[in-house]
Amino acid sequence: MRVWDYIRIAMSNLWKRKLRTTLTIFAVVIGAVLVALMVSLGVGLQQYVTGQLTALQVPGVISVEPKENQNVGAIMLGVSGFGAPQEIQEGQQNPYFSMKKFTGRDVARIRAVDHVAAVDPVVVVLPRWVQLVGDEKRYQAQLNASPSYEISQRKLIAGRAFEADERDVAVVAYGFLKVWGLDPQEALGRQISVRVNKGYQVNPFSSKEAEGRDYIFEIVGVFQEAILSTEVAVPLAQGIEMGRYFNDDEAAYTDKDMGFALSVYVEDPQQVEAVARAIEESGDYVAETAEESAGSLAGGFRVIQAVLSVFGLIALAVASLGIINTLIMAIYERTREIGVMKAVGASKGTIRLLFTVEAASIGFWGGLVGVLVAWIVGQVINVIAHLSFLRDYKDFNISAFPPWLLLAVIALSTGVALLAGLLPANRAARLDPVEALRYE
Amino acid sequence: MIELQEVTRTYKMGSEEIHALNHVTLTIADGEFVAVVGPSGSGKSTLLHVIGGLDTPTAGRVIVDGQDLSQARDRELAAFRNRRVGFVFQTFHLQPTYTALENVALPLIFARVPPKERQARARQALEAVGLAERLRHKPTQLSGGERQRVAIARALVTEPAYILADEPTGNLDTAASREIVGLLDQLHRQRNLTVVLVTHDPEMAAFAGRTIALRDGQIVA
Repeated sequence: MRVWDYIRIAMSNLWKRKLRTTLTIFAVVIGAVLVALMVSLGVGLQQYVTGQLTALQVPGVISVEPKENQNVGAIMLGVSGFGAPQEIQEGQQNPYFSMKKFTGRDVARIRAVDHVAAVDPVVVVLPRWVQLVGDEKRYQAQLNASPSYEISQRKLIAGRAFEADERDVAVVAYGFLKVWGLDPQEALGRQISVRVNKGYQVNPFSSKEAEGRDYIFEIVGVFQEAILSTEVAVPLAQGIEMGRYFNDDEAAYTDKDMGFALSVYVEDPQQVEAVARAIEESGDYVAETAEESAGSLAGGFRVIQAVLSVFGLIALAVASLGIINTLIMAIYERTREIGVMKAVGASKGTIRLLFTVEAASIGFWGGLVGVLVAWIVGQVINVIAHLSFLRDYKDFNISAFPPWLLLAVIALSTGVALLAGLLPANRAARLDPVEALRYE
Repeated sequence: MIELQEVTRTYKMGSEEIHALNHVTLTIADGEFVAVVGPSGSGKSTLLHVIGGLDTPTAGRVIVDGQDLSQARDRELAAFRNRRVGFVFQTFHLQPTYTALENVALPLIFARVPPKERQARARQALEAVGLAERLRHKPTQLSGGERQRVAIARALVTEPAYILADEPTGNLDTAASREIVGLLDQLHRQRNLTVVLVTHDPEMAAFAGRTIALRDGQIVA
């Protein structure tokens, strides 16, 4: 029998029994809708987070950490009090964990790697608060001491980035403008005060306010909207000064102590991969490019999507039971018909394939209708979200349907239905034609 | 030529063994019109099924046109049923949801004939049985005699050499019965078909050139 004939006959058989076919397909539709919709939520979140993070990340920048510091497990044990007592190393300030720091030697070694344009420490300063000069309220903030090659590639919606040697200027996140009630043009030129406490005193248990200093900056730029940022970016050199005050240590960010992470800039984007590997070769370092961290992020999201799809998969499994039942019933009803087909020359294989194609068709149509319905529901969800809690985040589509998702769900439904059809199809194929013809 | 050598077909019914066919040996030459007669349960239908490859003997050999059916696999038997023989049944066994044309075209689908050619050949077969006016009718819109003629057209459509008819007039009145057997005889002469007709009606058996009598699975005459 020719391929097209199988499909034609399968479709016409389904069409003849509209109610039963509709009900069976409906079960598949529910499963397909669930899978498609749930995964679309995961994809929507992934697309948004990845988009936001890539806006924050700069291509050409490699993040380098000491290899020893990757052993998070040991650190956690030490902090929690379980496991064997950990010896406190010489020079180790924090009694709870020991992490290796970079030195000037490391910087020089990495600087010597081919195609490396710049090596800078990652400065960690935890501000006590940031306050708009003239406003009373104080807000949490993240300070980013940014080298000029990083800040110059970030997306801004107003103003400009700063140069490496500038002082007392900052670029702030859009989120601040909202709470300050300023629009971007109004914000430029205003001043902010960043409070840094001396000596890393971020003690949540003490009610004493520690000694601190207010650093004043003029806002020269505003970052593009991003859901994940309360960022205040200042020039690196000034950030280093703040870091020394924050650590109460003039040796911080000098050859003796270059911190826990380095930021390495590679001008030629083609070389980034190669440079990262070369850096890892040159010492006990772990180097991650922007692409690699996006990759591990994507990996994490895939896990989330897989978990979300479980509900839909269960629904599809249940639907397949319905398919098996429907087909077995159909075979009883069509026993004589199968007998006649065999009498006029249909082989077992032909009969089997015929019923398998019928099953697969149910899955196919169910999947097709399912993704359509899921897509519509997804659009509705997006509209509602944008009218309510996502009002301020126009870029965030909570439900996203890339083409691969649509095709995958249709293929999945078809496949599940096809598998469900195997048992009934086999039964039909093995009917004895003589008995089948006698069947009333 | 149809050849049966010591063919036995046994069924188990509970603890009993029923011999539907019991050491049957016979030969039917090409172009013969043979009637198979006998009482109910004598094995006439089983004989037809075994000749047509619809049933496999428990013992013995069935050789049709040189092909040993007892050694054949399912796919070969299916091809045999499709192309070499045509069945006609007492209860017509037409698809109620198909038109006459579609019913007749069914064997051609399994013969992998393309759609246009299927239509043309099905139409020809229906014309040969005198139903050119009824192509688009469904079986419920046809009389008993007309339905059987559709079944005969279906049996002819792959141009087989053998027509196997199992009590084709059992559900028809006398007039229609004469028409049907007359048609089979006419086709037998025109196309040199070999026809094996199972019947318990002596008037119908008279159309045949030879009669084989069965009783309890054995040939008695």
